[in-house]
Amino acid sequence: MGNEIKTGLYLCTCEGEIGRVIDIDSLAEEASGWSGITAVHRDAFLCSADGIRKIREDIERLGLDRVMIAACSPFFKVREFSDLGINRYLVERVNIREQCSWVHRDDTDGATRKARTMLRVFLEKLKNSRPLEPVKRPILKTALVIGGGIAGINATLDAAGADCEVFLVERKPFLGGKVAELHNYFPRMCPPSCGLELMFSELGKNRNIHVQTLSEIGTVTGSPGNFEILIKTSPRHINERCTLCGRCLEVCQKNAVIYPEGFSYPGIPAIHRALCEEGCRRCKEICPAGAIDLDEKERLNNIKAGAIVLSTGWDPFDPTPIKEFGYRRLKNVFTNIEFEKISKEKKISFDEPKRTAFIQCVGSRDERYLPYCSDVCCMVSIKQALFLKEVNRENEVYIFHNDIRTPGEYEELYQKARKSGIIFIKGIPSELRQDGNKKIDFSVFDTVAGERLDITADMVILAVGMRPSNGNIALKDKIGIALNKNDFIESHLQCYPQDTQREGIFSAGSCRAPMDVSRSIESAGTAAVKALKFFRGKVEISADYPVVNTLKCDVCKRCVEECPFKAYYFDDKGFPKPEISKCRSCGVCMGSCPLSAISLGDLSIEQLSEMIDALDKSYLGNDEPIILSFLCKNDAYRAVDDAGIKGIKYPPNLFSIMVPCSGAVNGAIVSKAISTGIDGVLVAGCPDEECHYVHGSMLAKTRLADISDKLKEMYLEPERVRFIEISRDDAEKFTRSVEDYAKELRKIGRNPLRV
Amino acid sequence: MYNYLLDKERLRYCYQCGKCSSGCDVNRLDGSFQPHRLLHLISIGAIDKVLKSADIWKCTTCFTCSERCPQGIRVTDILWNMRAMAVKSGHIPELLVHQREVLLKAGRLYSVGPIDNKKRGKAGLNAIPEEHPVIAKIFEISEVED
Ligand SMILES: Cc1cc2nc3c(=O)[nH]c(=O)nc-3n(C[C@H](O)[C@H](O)[C@H](O)COP(=O)(O)OP(=O)(O)OC[C@H]3O[C@@H](n4cnc5c(N)ncnc54)[C@H](O)[C@@H]3O)c2cc1C
Ligand code: SF4
Ligand code: SF4
Repeated sequence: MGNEIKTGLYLCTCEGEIGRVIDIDSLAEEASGWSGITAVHRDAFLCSADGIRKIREDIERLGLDRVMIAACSPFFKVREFSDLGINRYLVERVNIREQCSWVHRDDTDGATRKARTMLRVFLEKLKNSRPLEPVKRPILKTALVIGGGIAGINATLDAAGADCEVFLVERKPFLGGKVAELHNYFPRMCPPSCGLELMFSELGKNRNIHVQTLSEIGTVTGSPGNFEILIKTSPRHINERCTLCGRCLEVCQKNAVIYPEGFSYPGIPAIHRALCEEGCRRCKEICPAGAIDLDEKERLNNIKAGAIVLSTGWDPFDPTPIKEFGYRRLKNVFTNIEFEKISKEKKISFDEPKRTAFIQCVGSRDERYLPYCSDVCCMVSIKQALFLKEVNRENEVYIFHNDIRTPGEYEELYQKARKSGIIFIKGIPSELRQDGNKKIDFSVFDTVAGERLDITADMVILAVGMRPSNGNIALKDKIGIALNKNDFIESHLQCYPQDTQREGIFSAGSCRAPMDVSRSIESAGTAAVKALKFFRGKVEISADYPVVNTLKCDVCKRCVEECPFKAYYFDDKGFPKPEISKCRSCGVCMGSCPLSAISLGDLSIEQLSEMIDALDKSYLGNDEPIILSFLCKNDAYRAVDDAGIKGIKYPPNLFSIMVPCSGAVNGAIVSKAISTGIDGVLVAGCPDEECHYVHGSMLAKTRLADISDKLKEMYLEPERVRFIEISRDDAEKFTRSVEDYAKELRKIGRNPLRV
Repeated sequence: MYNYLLDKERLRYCYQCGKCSSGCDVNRLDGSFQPHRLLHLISIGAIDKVLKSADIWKCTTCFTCSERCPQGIRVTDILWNMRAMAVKSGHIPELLVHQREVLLKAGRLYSVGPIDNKKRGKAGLNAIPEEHPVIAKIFEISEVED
């Protein structure tokens, strides 16, 4: 593209905030002689209406094709500088306030020298900037909800209620999930029929809703906004003609008829053919409505959806491996989920008073099984203990716990349990025993009393935790979502809990984390709103997505493997190519490519390389070390801005370049910096678990360690490259590290490669 | 050593759920011996109390607590380390000092004397050496540094 660009350089003194420290006049004078600069303008208040007007007029009058704004941080005055009448990728903001005048205010000479270098470097970047337009694709306003538990049902109702067409797919014969199996549910203690029945009647009424039970997802193709999903439906063997006369149930000797409860949806039984007796046709023969078809086959159908909501729910933890609790081996030891059924179906007699012991945290908060808190078990045990007290006031109930967690309003139920005489003991039994009789003996150390108690109980309930349902794992690869270390659906928990790592795919309910009914319903609403928001207009794909230079690429597939969003596929010539609707422009692929063949649209490898060439390594004279830092956009860059805002100082030896993620920094660029005389390269990214791009910072860390090793081989000091973890709030940590690093580099001495 | 225990032995993760003490057979016999309490004291920095107490010498190293601790804390190993630290800091129970002497000399906890060998001779058994210098050597070379 050469040098024939026409850049307007706008220098702001910011009412003295910048001008007091940096010699703007001399910079303006000098820059007007640089090639590529057509106009230079000084302003005391560039973001004012007048300032903006001036830029707009210059562009028109002088035919400017690039604009460089040397003023505050690019995260400041975003609106003001967003509409200048020129493609936004041709505008470069040079941060001479937060990252220069404010932090180097005691060193006017150093600050001015650094500002000059910044102008030089970012002018070089502009020379190879291209105008880019976002790609727009239409979105199908249809949602697919996978999993028909309480979360899935509510996500469906909410989205359909806002006039969106929804397909709800459930693999069991009936909707309702685990809630349908409960005896009653806290905090109001209503039976499941109460809430579910109302929801089902709404489902039935809404013509926008299409429910498919006994169905699972086959394949998912297409991209966000335009998914195409193959659904496999197993035969029900009984159709709508069924009048619920119940004769099939009566004649079946194999318990193969799964009969609906009063409120079930759909209200039609199903036949589990695998259980049938060979050749038996009794039910078909007896059915007066002719509703049974024992030869019905699996059906396949395709649906198209713009967005997907996952609500695959949870499964109970199986406590068998915790041998000391003797589950399955001892009589009268049940799990909490079994106890729901026991109390619902009154499977045991409650006439005789009993002594019952609940043991909390079974599997949960246990390094070996579920290292997290399962959220609901404390409340579940309290609910079940209260039930025992209700059926027979003489029942003795103990809850052995680690901590009781009943946040918010739930404290009320805890108080009620206390009042009712339920005994809470902080202490977990180590082993349950049973000799001959059906009673269970155990001793437990009451940590508050400081004494061992020996207990004999009639029944022990293990409060087992919630683990993600196997539906999560089944869908993981089919739709390309990430699961966290516990196999729940991964999300950026505090900012975007309902977003998965794939565009257009959201999660609702307990497939994301253990949660109770009320939070499941809340999260379903959020997921529905997210989907509806996604439906508005078109998928606008940011134009800065990466491009693979196929002339350089040797198809090593590193980018394909390291892309955090699995966006890469192979084009018809066999080269890797990002599916731009999945791409989030983090640049991790750019950082990964061993041949530097990948460039982001707005920051190419070539640009970075030329910027490093343009960086005067002696801008602070021959003796001062220069530290080139790459700061991730979401956290480190902002933390460094914060240093300026808080008035923390650091030496002008630091020169920063913003990258979308620390994982975008390619080793070749780091090597280039060192080989051209930069004394130290500092890459700042998020701590592993905070990285916005999953494993970007982790990759950056390992890549830098490799380069460090290589430096050693070249007889250069390995300390010349460094990775530091910087969170959004780590301004002080960062500036301290910069100071220390500068001192360290002074001690090591000048980079011998500096000319 | 102390910091090592805190960092590497997950001591800080102890819930104080007491499952270790619930299953401990020594606790069954001697209620004052409470592994969870010892861990608590160590983690709050009151390690001196632990080193001076007779409790750390009571553990039978059955490993029940370690096997069942939900936090994967190696309780037995920690108590074992406490013994080593107690010895270093000079808190050795009287009995053990004596036992050590006997062990070093005789290579066994029961010191065999001339009377014993006489009895053995009568019964047609071999005499047992009264001293076993090799044992002291083994002790010397297996002396481990902190
Ligand atoms: C013993 C016990 C008692 C409880 N009691 C209470 C209580 O009193 N009050 C309360 O608020 N909470 C209670 N809870 C928690 C409550 O059960 C959950 O909050 C609730 O079930 C979450 O609903 P969900 O829709 O997220 O998941 P689920 O109820 O698990 O529903 C998920 C649905 O998705 C389906 N599915 C899974 N994978 C697929 C797939 N691949 N394709 C298609 N369909 C799929 C499943 O078949 C299921 O129908 C209790 C939990 C336990 C363990
Ligand atoms: S069992 Fe483990 S977590 Fe519980 S008190 Fe003992 S050491 Fe602490
Ligand atoms: S290892 Fe020691 S502390 Fe642990 S249970 Fe056995 S005797 Fe008790």
